[in-house]
Amino acid sequence: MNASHAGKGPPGPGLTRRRMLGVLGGAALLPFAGGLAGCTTRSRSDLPGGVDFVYLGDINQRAQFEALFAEFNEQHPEIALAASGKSGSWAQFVYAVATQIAGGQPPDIVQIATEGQRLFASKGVLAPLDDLIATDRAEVDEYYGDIHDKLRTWTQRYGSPDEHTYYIPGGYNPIVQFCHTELLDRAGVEVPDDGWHWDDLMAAGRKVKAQGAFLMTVQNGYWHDVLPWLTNNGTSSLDADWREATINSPEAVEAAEMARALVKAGYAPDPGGSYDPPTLMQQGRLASFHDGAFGIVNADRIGLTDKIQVVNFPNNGVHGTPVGWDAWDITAESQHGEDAWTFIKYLMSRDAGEFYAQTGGTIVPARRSVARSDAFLGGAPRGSERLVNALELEYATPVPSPERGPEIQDAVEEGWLQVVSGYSDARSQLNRTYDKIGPLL
Amino acid sequence: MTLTQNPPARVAPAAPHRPRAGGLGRNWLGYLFISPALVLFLVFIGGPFVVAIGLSLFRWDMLTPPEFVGADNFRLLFEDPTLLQAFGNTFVFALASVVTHVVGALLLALAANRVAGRVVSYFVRTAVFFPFIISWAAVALLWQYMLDPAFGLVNHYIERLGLTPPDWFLDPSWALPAIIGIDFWHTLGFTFIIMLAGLQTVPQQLVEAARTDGANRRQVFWNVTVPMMSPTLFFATVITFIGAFQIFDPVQIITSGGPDDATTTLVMYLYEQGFQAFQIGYASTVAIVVFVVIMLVTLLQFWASRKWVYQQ
Repeated sequence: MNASHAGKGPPGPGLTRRRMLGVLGGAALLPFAGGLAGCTTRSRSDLPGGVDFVYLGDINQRAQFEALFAEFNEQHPEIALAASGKSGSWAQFVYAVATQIAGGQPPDIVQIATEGQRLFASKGVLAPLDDLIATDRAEVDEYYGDIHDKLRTWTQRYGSPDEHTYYIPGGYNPIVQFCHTELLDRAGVEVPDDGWHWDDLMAAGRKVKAQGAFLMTVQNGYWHDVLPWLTNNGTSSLDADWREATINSPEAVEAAEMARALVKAGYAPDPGGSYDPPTLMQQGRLASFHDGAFGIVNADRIGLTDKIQVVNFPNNGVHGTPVGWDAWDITAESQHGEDAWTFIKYLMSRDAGEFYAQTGGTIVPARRSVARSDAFLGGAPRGSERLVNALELEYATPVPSPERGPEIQDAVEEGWLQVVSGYSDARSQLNRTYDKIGPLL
Repeated sequence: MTLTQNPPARVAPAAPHRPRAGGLGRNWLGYLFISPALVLFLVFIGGPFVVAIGLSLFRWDMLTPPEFVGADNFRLLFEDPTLLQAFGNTFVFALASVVTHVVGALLLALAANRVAGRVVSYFVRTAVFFPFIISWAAVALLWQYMLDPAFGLVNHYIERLGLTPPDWFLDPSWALPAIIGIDFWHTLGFTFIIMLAGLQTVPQQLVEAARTDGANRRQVFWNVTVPMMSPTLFFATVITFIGAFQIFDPVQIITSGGPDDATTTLVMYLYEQGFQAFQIGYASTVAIVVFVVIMLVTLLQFWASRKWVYQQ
């Protein structure tokens, strides 16, 4: 089945984005017209070919994908695969893929995280997967049965603005705290299995500071730094429908003040710097850092896996975490819909999940059976199963990502940085951030 | 006229100008030579400029079909408070950049010109120019480390002097000056080389004549060196302004326009609108504004130059 047939029909007459590019590109390239008149061009669909799989990641992840493709090709030698990793922020990734699509070179599969799912689905560039899912119902149901139900329902709720299904959810990433037990023992700080309560945080910070180290870091990354504070105080940057900003709620203000208090007391390095938390821990200058599954890789990198205990992020009575997850889709203009779907089914398989986890994947495998197996947890720091169980937390919250998410993210990060660095008080700054976000929703 | 003056030389009368037959056909070699530059200009400057004008009349997010909106994007310019702030930041940056570069480079060039010894002279010239050949990305990362609030070398030494260092990139009142300083360090070498070349054009006989007439160093500088270097100063002023008005790299890498838009420049804002907000039409409108402003200021500089630039 060709995905382009399963999706919406071709754009109607009028000014389409491709025609627009054609007209404007034609104007730009007019000087070449004569010289290139004798040349011929081949469209992508004429090329012998394969499934073009695009993902956000750097060159280091390419090796993992290449290994995954090799595994896939053992089962399906008839399908050629090509991976394009695009580095940068999510906004840059979305822009790069949008350019590719607008230029008439759509990839077949875009592995896209929470931050871009709604944007892509709402623009009509993805093919509905309903028919494909119906065809392979048993296989898909087996997969859904092994992943946390929240992943499926969130993907549907936030990533599919109409009645269709555009995404199959993949691995996810919450935030947990990686604690250096030896350093904390030396400071006389107990590490609660469930993570520190905010009430105990300042006392712990004081003891760690006496050892010449910082308790934790306070920065302004949206998913990594801001949302953990908010979700562990029962709030988020936007409401559950992503229609109203809640960044200036009393809980958000309280969370920002708590984060600032840590910096002010010297229990966290000054924000805005360019230090690497795992490296600071390796140097004995940091007692804990927070991260997603990438923290496991970092713990291994700094050689402290055996001395690290994973606990929940500090909480104020309610436990929470932001959650971002990958999802796979097929573009509406894909010429290799059937092959793309075959590959997505492979990505859903237990084999692929295990293989990816074993090659050092930086995300929690979607399948519980894989996430709880040695393929993911073998050799990980003690307590790493908290990454797997994070979806059970009361305030496990999808990273709020409406259509203009990148701009909202920038506004929140900028406002938060002003607060935690002490240049604005929490209430007035977060009110300003609220005002900035309003027109973007 | 004196008797000693030579009679006018006999020269053959100029041949009457005849229009060349063949036009393009006769001059194909000349056009061939300029064609690489011409093609590059048309494809990377002329073409995109025309495209930007076209795009400014549309609302387009690259994913859905574009919508013709006429002059709406231009009207939006006047209702956009962030654009106004970006304008202010860019003008402050450009003005500071022109003043610091021209004055700093001129003083350095004067000093370097007086350095005795060829080896020392080459060393000084290379050392001043060297930062310019480092990529902006590397420079930005380097200064991010140097000015890091917790672990940076600069703050460390300021603290050792008993002073409280600012949070360079976090304090809204320090962020733009910090970027101006980094830009000064990085690009001064280019202006310095221009000034050094300009200094070589000052006729030594004029300097010696002035000294013979009793002028001191300051008088020689203001009455001989500066006027004779005025074409160089003018050139440096124009290109420094044009470059500074398009500042983007260090802002994007170090502050992303923050804190609180304190370092959002026009090109940074253009980038945000185009590549984060996906408002390609509005971003093109801002690009046209950047072009128009640079053109107007450059024309103003040329007009003013008639009053102070000494043409030999």
